[in-house]
Amino acid sequence: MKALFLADLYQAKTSFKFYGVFIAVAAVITVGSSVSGEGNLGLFFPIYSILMASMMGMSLLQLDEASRWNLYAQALPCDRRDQVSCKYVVTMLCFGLVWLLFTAIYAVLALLGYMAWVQALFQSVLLLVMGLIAPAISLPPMFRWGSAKGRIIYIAMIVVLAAGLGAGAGAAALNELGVPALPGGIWIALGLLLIAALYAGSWALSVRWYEKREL
Amino acid sequence: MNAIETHGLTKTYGDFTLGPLDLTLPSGCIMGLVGENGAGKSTTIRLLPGMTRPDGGAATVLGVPAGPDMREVKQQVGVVLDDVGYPGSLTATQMGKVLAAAYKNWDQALFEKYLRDLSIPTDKKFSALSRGNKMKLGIAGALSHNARLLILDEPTGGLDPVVRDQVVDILSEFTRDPSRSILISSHIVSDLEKLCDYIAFLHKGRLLLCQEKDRLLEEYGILQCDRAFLDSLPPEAVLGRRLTPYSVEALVRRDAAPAGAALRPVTIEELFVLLVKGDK
Repeated sequence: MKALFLADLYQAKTSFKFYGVFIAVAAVITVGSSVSGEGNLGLFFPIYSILMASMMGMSLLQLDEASRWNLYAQALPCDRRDQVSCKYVVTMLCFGLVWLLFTAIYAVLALLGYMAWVQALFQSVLLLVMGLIAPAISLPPMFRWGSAKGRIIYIAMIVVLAAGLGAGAGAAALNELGVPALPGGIWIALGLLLIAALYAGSWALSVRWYEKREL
Repeated sequence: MNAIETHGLTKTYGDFTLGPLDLTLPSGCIMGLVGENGAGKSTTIRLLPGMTRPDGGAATVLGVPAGPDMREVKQQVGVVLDDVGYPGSLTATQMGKVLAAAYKNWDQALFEKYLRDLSIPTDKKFSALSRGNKMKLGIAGALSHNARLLILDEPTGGLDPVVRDQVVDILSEFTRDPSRSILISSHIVSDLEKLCDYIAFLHKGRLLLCQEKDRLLEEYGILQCDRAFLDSLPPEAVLGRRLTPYSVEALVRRDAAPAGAALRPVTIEELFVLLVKGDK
């Protein structure tokens, strides 16, 4: 699995260089908009960045299929479970780094008084949930039917999410919901548990489906 | 122990069926898989390291059943596919590091020697390499972890004659150690003729012949004669014939040919072409 992981890191490094630049710009805009009181951008860019980071596993799988590395990797001393796990780990790593960055930004903004602590906490949890839901739903069909069909499902899901939230309206609605309505953070904890279970279930399903797939 | 054994191995894709395939590659030997496009060579090669699941029959690789439990035995197997299959954005140097992480017996010095000897660019992305350089890198990767078995799909395809010769020499050198074996498919039958101890002919998914190369060359010959003489031969003696307005050539079993018939030695290429296309 170490070999597959290394190959993915090299591919991510060379194929997604622009992504690092985008994250840096998104971070600056997030800070700037929060300081200037334009809170909507303070959520839009982090969400966009998180969704891009959570696509990393899917993008790498697509590259693997294009180069047939997904087939050749089976000649190496590893199995299909490793191939699937690698994509889930890389996704968590990329998404985790971006999530940590924006969570740190929210924490600093809250510390400096530009954002309420409850809002910072809520937005951080929202990013976590959105970032894990996307690959959890999209990766199993990609492993079962290939990256092209899986990507269609992913795009459909983004459309549904965008329709439900809308960057500005979503942020406003979330603010109206208010964290105090979540007693003792129980709902947050339940939500996180649910999303962790969804991600773990997605991982297991991907392994099961990929092991059955004819390449 | 045999390096590869298959018993009744079958695989079906739509209207194409490979097998049932019964092959045995003894340790220390090289077997060439010959067949036209779509004969089932690549499918056979993918079935052995468990890259594709068979529909029936069984295969063993270095004594281990082919399938999901081959993880350990794959440490001793090197594979080169017809399109190699390395990630497009990796350089040869990076690919070396990936393979080093995969194989316990990775020999970095040997890999670097192959990169130098085969003039493989080390800083170009794999996707930017020529077909020949991609194949050379695939071969270097497969040869650098002290494998006991190489499974190679068209490894000399796309290489110029000089490099092809170099690769054939490297593969010959590889099997000097009697515990090492190679299964190799190629359209370039002359390479297989130089290299192989055994030849297996695949045609439309069926195994036509699988025999020691020297025995094939001893058992069969080419008869050049006139049409009347050819027609007088017993049908079982003639395996294929090539008729032109100017000559008649037939692939015959030497033991069934009439005494005194002038037979010339057959090449592996002629043997295959006449077996497959020879109008019987």
